[in-house]
Amino acid sequence: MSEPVGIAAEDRELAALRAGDEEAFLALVNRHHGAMLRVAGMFVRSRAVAEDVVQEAWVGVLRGLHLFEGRSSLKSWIFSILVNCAKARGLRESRTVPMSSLDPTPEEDAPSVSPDRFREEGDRWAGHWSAPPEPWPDARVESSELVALVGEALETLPPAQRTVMSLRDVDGWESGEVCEHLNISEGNQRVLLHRARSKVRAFVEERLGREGPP
Amino acid sequence: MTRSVPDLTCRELVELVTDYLEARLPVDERTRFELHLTYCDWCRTYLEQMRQVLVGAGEITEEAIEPEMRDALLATFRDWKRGSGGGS
Amino acid sequence: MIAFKFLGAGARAPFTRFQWPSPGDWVSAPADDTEMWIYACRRRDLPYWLDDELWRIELEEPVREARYQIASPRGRLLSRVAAWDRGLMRDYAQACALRARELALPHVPDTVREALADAPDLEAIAAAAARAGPTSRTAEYVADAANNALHVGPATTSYIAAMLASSLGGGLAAFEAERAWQARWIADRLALEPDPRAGS
Repeated sequence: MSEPVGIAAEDRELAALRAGDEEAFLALVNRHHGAMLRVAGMFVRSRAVAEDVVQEAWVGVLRGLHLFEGRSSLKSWIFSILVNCAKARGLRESRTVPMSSLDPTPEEDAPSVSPDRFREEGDRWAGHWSAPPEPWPDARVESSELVALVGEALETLPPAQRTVMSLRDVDGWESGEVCEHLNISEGNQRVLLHRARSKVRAFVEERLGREGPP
Repeated sequence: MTRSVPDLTCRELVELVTDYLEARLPVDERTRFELHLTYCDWCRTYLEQMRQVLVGAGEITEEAIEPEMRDALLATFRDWKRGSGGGS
Repeated sequence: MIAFKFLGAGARAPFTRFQWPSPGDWVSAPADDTEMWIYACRRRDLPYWLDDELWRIELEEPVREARYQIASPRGRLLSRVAAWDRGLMRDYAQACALRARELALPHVPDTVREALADAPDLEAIAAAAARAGPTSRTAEYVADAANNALHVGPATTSYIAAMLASSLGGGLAAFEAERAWQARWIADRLALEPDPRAGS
């Protein structure tokens, strides 16, 4: 999870950047690198192109640094530059910009949990669990195993879901930041997040259940 | 019949978990959600697992930037510094 | 206003995980965000929110009243109701299951009524009710209530009893009436003061 940067800290960071402080620059790069690749990846075809876009965005950031007035946060400003670069590159690649790919598809209506795990219509407890979740063993939840499984599960998700969940739950973004930079509605953001989290939970459950206790 | 009482089914609850955690449920639905949790250990387990997933996600360490890219960005920064008179 | 609040073991809020401080220490929620207010029970709300620990809580005005709970922006725990313990929870679950049988008797098949009425304990009730098989949903509810009282706990058992009551035709009103019966049982056993305002 990236550390939230307070207003005063951001002012200091900005001053250091403008003064040409390499440490400050690298810290900023490292903090946002994963999220920048993710966001860029939503607009362009490949990882290599996304890396290019990130680099191009930093050039834009540095060029514009003297114009940055702090009306938005530094982070928000950096990502708006990134998105502009990525969109432009996406258009040149004649790839559809993700407004469409970020709309929940019919697949998004798929249930979070398989319907056969609930009691059937007509049962007195219709819709209640028939195959309920078993608590995960503490030892495995507290180990690095769970973290690794969540990471593995994220890789299996469709890109829009993976991007939204990673930005929210790995990078610690607010929902408003995700909506702004991916240009999606609050509702869409939540649908994508819900599908993603539900699938990740199911993935972890499958692994922990199938492998049994250690 | 069950619709007349303040309740949800488990199947409905699992679709509301994100709205609940995001504090986006209307108050009546939130009450139904919590009334259900009070008597349903299974759904409490489900919600707990969702929270465990979120904690796990928060602990994922981002892949470090590749050294080549880091060096390239640093070079960009130094160019900019020279060009803009940064450091002054 | 003095009200009640159920908490998990160690005075932890069941949904938010908030760790309540020692009795007497005030806790404040954002006054302008009623969603975040401190929730509590009137006496009549108790059966809906069972948990391990029962506390008396003082709520500062304004107290907002809803159908199954009340809320306030500021509150403090006063003292734990020590009599709400494992033993009493078991007794309460059993009382709810017995009450389920009582409500069900006029509605179960003749073939099982006598055995169900005579069943001396929860195991026998569950067995007698199960003999009605899937032909009687009412009997199935009674078996569910008895089994849950034995193996699961009071929150589930009392919910099943209230569901049974509503299934006999009265819907929401019957469900809430059964909850009111349960609230009286708890209040009597714990000798709780009546709700300060209309209700109970």
